[in-house]
Amino acid sequence: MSNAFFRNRWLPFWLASPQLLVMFLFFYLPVFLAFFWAFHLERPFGGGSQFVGWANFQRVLADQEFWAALRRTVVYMLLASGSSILVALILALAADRAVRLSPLARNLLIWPKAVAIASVGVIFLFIFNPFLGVLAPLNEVFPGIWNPRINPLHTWIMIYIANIWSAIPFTFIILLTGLQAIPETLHKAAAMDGAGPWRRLRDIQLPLLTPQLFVAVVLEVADSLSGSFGLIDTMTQGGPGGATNMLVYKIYVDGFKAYDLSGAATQTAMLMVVVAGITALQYLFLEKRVKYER
Amino acid sequence: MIENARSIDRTATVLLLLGSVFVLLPLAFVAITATQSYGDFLRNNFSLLPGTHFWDNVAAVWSLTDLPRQIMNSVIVAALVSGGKCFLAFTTAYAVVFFRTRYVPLVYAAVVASIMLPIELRVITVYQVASNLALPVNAAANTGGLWAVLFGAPLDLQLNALDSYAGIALPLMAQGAGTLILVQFFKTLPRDLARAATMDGAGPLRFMADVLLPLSKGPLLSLFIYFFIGGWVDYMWPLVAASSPEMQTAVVGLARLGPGMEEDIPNYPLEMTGAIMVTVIPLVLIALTQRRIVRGLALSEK
Repeated sequence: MSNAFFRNRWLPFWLASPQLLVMFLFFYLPVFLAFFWAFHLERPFGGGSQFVGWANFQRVLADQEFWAALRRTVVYMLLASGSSILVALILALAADRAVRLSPLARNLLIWPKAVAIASVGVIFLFIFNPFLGVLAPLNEVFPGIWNPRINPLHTWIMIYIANIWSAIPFTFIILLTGLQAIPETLHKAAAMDGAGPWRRLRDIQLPLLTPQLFVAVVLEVADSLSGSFGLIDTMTQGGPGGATNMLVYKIYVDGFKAYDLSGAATQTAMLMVVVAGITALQYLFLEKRVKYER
Repeated sequence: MIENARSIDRTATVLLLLGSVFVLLPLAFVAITATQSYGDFLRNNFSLLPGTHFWDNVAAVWSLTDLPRQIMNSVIVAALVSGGKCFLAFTTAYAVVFFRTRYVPLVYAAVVASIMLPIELRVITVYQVASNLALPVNAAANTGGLWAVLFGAPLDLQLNALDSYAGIALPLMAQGAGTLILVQFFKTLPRDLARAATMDGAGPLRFMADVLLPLSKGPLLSLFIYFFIGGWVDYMWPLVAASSPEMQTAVVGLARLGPGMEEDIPNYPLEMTGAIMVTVIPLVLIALTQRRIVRGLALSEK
């Protein structure tokens, strides 16, 4: 920290204290409370808490629906972040070329950032409506060929497309910034050595893009998880038949609809551990492959 | 260009075209549907030709739903969240970068660690805290039954923040990304800035207000716009924090608009008109300030 200059003892604390208060109240205290309620039961009629050991965990872990929701959540995090990063990477590579369409596309591709994930859900639910949406004519010719209200596969396709649409801007910006920071001289030198565009993509652009790809993976994995709520709540409410019930949504239903504070808190605590674990794994295994030197 | 790469450029153009169409097509469907009347929509279903009823639909949404009030709520909440985040990030980043005090890195770590668990993961217990902000005070006073012994009954203060602007906005501020970005920015400033200011007789607070703040105008403005849009599009927390339609934000109001309609076939023209009204402010912001936002974000990962 080269800029550190002042030596006051308490001033930095007072400066940071509003931030620390907000963090304490709405981050650290809730995280603590999630673990607290995972080991306690609420006494009926508002009578405080009762320590119950691991009983909440036993109850949750014995619930088949919890495991199914956890599995769906992890698969979704991987596929949703993977698919959106792939699409954004292809678009960023294209926008990095100095073609005429590039400036306009760069502006357009950021627009979905302004549309709330819940609004994306509302919009795509209409677009993919089997009887009123874009695929309705197809359904008239081949009845039942597209119905996301009944067929879980169709439901998932709809969710993934909505997620990619919503996730393009952020990843696109990060990756494009990274690509543009790669010096033109490297391209020229490699081209003179006879490396074609594919070779340069593989040996220059992608390796030098690894810091941005790493950031994109970390953020997109977290984003797909938090974004899943807005999509599921507006599009499927976990349906059809519970096929898209993911953990964030299940916790919401358990806590706010079924008033099962301890059950919801127990699942929250476990989800936090899973997310912290995934983040740690990303740093352990992915960051090693990141080349920070240019 | 390096070599004669017309075929690559053509491929790039086609890809960008596809990407732009993919982004624009859903918005175009929304816009077209919003111009249909409900009767036209029932007759023709989905249509590719724009109708003429857009302003009628806007007037209907304006008078029949809570959206106007909710859009106002969104403006207030987004401005509060964004202004709050920028203020907190600025003072914290200043403390972190410009002070040599020993506990400062600890503060920084505690703030940045919050990026890992977004509010969607803690919503159950954030709700509990927001429903009674005095919770930690009660807990501290009642440790070991101390308060009950002294005053006869356990301390039970109640301070419910739910269903208020502050209650919706404050929990959304508990996120360390702004601090992270401003710390990166402060580190790029010339090293002797603070020294020079001190020689001119300015104290640390004076330096912050008169030197650092003017220098940070650009990044702060980018952050403000970015967080404003972020606060506008938040869904899960505003959904649970506001129970009455009058306090809900526009995005929540839009999501609640659909299923509640009484017709068998949803009035999609009205719903899509609502979607446009809910989205137009952040969309115009992002289309106009795209460069600034990109620069502000690019700052964050160096």
